Amino acid sequence: MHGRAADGRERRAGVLVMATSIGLAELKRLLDDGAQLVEVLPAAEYADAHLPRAVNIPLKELDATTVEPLDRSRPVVVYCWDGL
Amino acid sequence: MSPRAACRLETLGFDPALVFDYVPGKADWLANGLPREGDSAGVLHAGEAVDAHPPTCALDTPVSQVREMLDGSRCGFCLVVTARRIVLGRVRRSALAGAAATETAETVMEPGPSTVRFDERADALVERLAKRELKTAVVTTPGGCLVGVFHREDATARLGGTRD
Repeated sequence: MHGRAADGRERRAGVLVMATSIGLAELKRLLDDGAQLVEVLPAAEYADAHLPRAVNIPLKELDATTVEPLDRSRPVVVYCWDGL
Repeated sequence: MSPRAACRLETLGFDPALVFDYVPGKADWLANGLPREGDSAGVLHAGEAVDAHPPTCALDTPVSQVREMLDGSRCGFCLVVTARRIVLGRVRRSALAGAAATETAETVMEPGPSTVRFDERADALVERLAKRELKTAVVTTPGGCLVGVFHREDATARLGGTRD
């Protein structure tokens, strides 16, 4: 059974598909493979320091318009300070 | 914050199989000494101002060898590390004085010495050490692996100031 759950998450064979949590090694592999990197912290924190080639879309501004520049066919990795 | 962002991307129609959450985040990346962009990119950080080859030994290293290592070393201690360079302890030169040559580092070391993260600002660390009248700090990765020993004197010189 495929489709979407009420909260929008994809359902494949009846199982909700959720984003995968990754660590540093997996992040490096994904970046080598061309993943897009999105820092979701406020702009001032991004301006101070961010991962190379990361773009900034603060969580509070994450909507259909701000994500338009992202390529939906390639992996997207989001990060904040420490996941909290 | 990033788990909510990942979830939000999915609700915006992104394929969940292509959305990843780097949960350890920027703190982990910076603490591992990896490159950064942004206004603080030119700031000297602790991990960039270390002696990366301080005296180190294993738990079973005989005290006689530790003593030899410290002879002629500017470090007043030898760090006890695992094969993966995880810091287990510190043997101070003073602890070797009364030790028998056949003893091992494990028997004379101080376990779990304090460490600082790679990404701590060097200028702040210099001031903190000066305040506590300390000359060095052990710098590790978040996983506890030795990066090196930060010498306050060297960092002060690199910072071009007189923070001592």
